[in-house]
Amino acid sequence: MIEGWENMSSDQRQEAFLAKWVSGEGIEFAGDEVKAAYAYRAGLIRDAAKLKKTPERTPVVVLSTFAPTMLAGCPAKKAMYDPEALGKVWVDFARDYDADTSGNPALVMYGPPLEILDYNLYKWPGHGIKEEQGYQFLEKPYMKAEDYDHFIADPTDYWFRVWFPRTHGALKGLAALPPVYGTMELPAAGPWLATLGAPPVQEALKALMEAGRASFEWIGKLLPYMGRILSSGYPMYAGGFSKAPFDVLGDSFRGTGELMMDLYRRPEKVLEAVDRIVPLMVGLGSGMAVANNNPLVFIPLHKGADGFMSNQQFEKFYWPSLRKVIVGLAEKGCVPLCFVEGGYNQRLEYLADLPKGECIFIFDRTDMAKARRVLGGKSCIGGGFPVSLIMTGSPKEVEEETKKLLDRAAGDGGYILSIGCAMDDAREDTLKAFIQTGKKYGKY
Amino acid sequence: MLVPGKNNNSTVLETGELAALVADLQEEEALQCIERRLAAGEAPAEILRACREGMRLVGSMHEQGHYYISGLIMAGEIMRLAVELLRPVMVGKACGGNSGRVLLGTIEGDLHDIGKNLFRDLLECHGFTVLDLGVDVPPADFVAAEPEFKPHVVAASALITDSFPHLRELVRLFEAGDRRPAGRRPSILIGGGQVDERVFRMSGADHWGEDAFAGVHICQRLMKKNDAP
Repeated sequence: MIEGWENMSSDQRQEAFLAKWVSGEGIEFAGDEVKAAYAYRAGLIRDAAKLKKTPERTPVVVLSTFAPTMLAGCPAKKAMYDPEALGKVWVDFARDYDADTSGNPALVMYGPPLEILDYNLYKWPGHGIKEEQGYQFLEKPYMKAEDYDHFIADPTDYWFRVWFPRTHGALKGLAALPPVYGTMELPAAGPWLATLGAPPVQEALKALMEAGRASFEWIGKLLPYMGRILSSGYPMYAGGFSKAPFDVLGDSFRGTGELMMDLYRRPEKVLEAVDRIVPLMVGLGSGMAVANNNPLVFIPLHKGADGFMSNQQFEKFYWPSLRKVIVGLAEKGCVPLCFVEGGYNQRLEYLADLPKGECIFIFDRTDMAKARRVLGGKSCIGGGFPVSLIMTGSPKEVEEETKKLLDRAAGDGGYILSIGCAMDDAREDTLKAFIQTGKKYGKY
Repeated sequence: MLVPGKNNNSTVLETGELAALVADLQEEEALQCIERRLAAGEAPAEILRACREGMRLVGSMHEQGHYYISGLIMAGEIMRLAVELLRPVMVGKACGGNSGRVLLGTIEGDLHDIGKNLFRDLLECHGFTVLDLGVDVPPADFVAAEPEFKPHVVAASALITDSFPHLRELVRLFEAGDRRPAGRRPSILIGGGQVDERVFRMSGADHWGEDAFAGVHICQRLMKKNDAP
């Protein structure tokens, strides 16, 4: 616990948590020089985020999932089944490409527990996807319209007893469980415990135990590599993960089509549901951030983008609960890093309605000059570089476009140079040109 | 102008009650209206025509910035339910479009379908006949489906960078297999996620759409120009 935490404002808590992160507390650096390099890189992010000091240059962040392994010729399947190969590739990627931060290789996830659980929410290499390709989300209406009341009354109970059995084949047995609440008194504890002994429930619990054991072994193998990334001077751009409540409901529960129709058919239920999700997402993001000693909480934004809904619908259904998550995370000293997928040209004014310097927005296809105009001096912005140019351009074209982007978006601070995509693939020459140009021409 | 969610009395008078209810996304009222008109013995083709007029209004309200994907999905659902009510009493083809034929799919290696499905629904709203091959469709499957369906446009969606080479392969296969006079193979349109001018140039496709709506406009333009066979 940081001294004086209880009496601090959100801004002060963020500063304190960022300072702890920048200091590299708990990391065993190879030497003072490396420690200073880590502090320099993390400091660039801190200064860009908080808008109080112009950093020496714009930080360069490469959001990536499978790109490091693809670039190293390591197929996605190997990355998901061989934690040591995964870890080594990510250590090498951080060093060889030398951006200011690294991603977290644990987000690549481990294949065996997904197999054990018969996981249906994604397809992954070797399971519905070619071995060379990264995983992909499989959106379906896993939650039915008539389930709203259960979800709203008790999201965790719904999650455990309804959503798990529908999204994990091996957890079907959990559908037989009664709610946990009888356990509050001895006479009602018996029936609940007896149900735990029923064969389908036992099978589900065994699957969870097995998946847990496999994952524990996996993370045990991966952690030393994550430690090496940090100890070689590269902070990670995400300590935690969270989501906009509307996206939680739309991505993993109702599906886009059903949720968009819910806006007309049962708008009040949608509002109640997203409000119920707010504290869950604050707790998820801040819990991970504290555990990883890194205040940055990565929040990919999906269904609020231009075109999905009107501004009136955005300000009713999407923004209020997202804003509560952002403010809630900031109150816990975390710095939300929203990855704004798609275009947000019609929504920028909403994003401007936040306390100064408490949130980062990395954009995908938003007009970066407009983002700078609307959000400059209010929130740190980032991104805007097209991944298509990394994939199809020449290093010279990438260099020119990077310079243009910096001219448009870097301002006098409060900008993170980044590609508008969490990359599954890349090219070495263009990606290196992007990073080096950013470092060279991003100086203030 | 019809404004969503408002009482559009003037529009009701101009377009008829059912078209206005569909255009205003009044699901229950629109379906009740269909049931009433069916019970009164009205020809289902007339009722369907009114629904399609409502969908046309939805399209124009989208163009005017009043409706977004949420409204279009809702409109598509009302239309689907309307056709479900009408199909049993319709004789012959229920709602065959005559604007043109589009062969559609998400390209190999990619499972994303939200944009593709929206594009399909929009095309159908505008009277196109669509053969949707689904997701993760190998380029050769597009080619295989062509002789029977005879599309005017072949449309491929791609959200992830890994799939870009398959777009190029799609174009290559259509060009390699084409023995017809120049310009007579179906036009190839690409779109989705990270597709932009650069990916378009790399693929060699004939057209690219920034979003589903732009894609529909391209298909309409192609049909008008009779650019396609």
